[in-house]
Amino acid sequence: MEEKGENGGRVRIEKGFNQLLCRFVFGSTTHYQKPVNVSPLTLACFCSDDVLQDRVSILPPTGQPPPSPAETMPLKWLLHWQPNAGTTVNSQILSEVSQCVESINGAKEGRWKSTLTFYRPVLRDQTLQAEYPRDCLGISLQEQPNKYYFILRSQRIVLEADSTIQMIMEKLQSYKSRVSLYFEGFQYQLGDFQLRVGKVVPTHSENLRGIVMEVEYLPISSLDKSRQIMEDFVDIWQETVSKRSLPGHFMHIEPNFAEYGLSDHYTSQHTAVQYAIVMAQLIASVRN
Amino acid sequence: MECVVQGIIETQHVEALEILLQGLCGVPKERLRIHELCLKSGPNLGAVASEVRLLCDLEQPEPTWTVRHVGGAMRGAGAEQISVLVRTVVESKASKNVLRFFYTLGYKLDHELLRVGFAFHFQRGAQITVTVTSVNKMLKLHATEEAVPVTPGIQLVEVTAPASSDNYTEVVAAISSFCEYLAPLLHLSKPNVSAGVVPTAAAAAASLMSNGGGKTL
Repeated sequence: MEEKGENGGRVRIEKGFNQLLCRFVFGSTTHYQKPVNVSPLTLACFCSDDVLQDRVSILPPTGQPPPSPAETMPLKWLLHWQPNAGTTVNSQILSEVSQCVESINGAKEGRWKSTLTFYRPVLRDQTLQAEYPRDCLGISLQEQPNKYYFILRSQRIVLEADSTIQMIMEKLQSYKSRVSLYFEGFQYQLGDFQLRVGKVVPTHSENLRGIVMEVEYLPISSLDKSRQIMEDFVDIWQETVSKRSLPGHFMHIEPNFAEYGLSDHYTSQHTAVQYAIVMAQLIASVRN
Repeated sequence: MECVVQGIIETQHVEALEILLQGLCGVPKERLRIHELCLKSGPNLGAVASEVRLLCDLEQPEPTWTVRHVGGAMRGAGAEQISVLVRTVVESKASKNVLRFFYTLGYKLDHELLRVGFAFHFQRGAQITVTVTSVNKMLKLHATEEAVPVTPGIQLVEVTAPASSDNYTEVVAAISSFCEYLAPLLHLSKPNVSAGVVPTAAAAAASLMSNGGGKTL
């Protein structure tokens, strides 16, 4: 069965057990050919064709069932807005981006907020600053309200701890929090994807410092297995945003998670690392 | 916050103490094997020196790590009058790279210990935990398998209970009351205020051993 979507691409769907073999063809390019666990709704979103949803049926599983949601943590990519040279991020761009999500049928669900804090060592001799971590970040994630994460990016260390670690750091008085930033906005459901579009603002100010977007794919927690589908989604997203002719574009930088001792199986520690990388990019953008 | 008292007992009487605690508790003991690393801030770090303890629970199939900060004890005339130490304590579970994290922040290993023993948990007016451990030092760095007792023939008994500023007086009373059960075997007091071993310990232990264990009181 082959359907033609609004975007001009063609989707050939071959039924298998509890999965669909998909070949996405956009123009002369075939995007992927591997079998993936993709729900009909996901495909429908890709092709912007609601009729497709009714025409695809899933046969009863004949092999191993997919892992239950409780055993997996959905993986996510964190994108950040890269302004064009000579431009800065502004609230109009944020508004346009949010409209883009809604234009591809993203259903607004609610608010989200994560917090990132810069810690600096308290030193008796400032000339010895080079001996201490230059960037110690603390991160509180929406998805893990009882946890706190520290990232020492230069040393490739990510620590996961209970949120009481913040109290311990306060009592130690050896590192003090200097600046905190909120990553906050609205989240949207889009088939098997959950999207969070957010602004980056200091905690005591409304000055917009950046725009981020979390793209979370719910069915899979393997970074490797999900790469193709995530790249395809981001390609479609970039294409959607580009039609608005905004002065910039979204970027995704995949950290070398292995350097942080993290495996292919996605966890909140991966998310914390991505936030640290994005923060470094936002700082670099401001400096440039 | 926590309330705490400590005491010492000769190793030969630990079995009797275990019988007594088992009788009071009614549930099996929890085995303890904890590698405790005491870290102190380097000379340049912080306006004042700071100390943090990392506890690695070796009894678990996969060792788990806890960060523990022990703060100052409650002071004042009221604190002097009570026989239980009340102090601030904050703990946080952490991932297994926590030692490397604190080293990178600028903390140094001051000393490490291996505590081996058992614990009983009680609910008697407060959530009371009694730990009985031999405290061991390592002759080589992190060599827990080759640890030797710091005080051969003597074990440490700690009675602790979590508290808050609202209820610490009740918790203190609960601990003081509970300690009376243990009085024949050992004397419990504030840390650093040691009364040594109790003269009646041998007789009390003999009595417990001859009566047998396993009865819930």
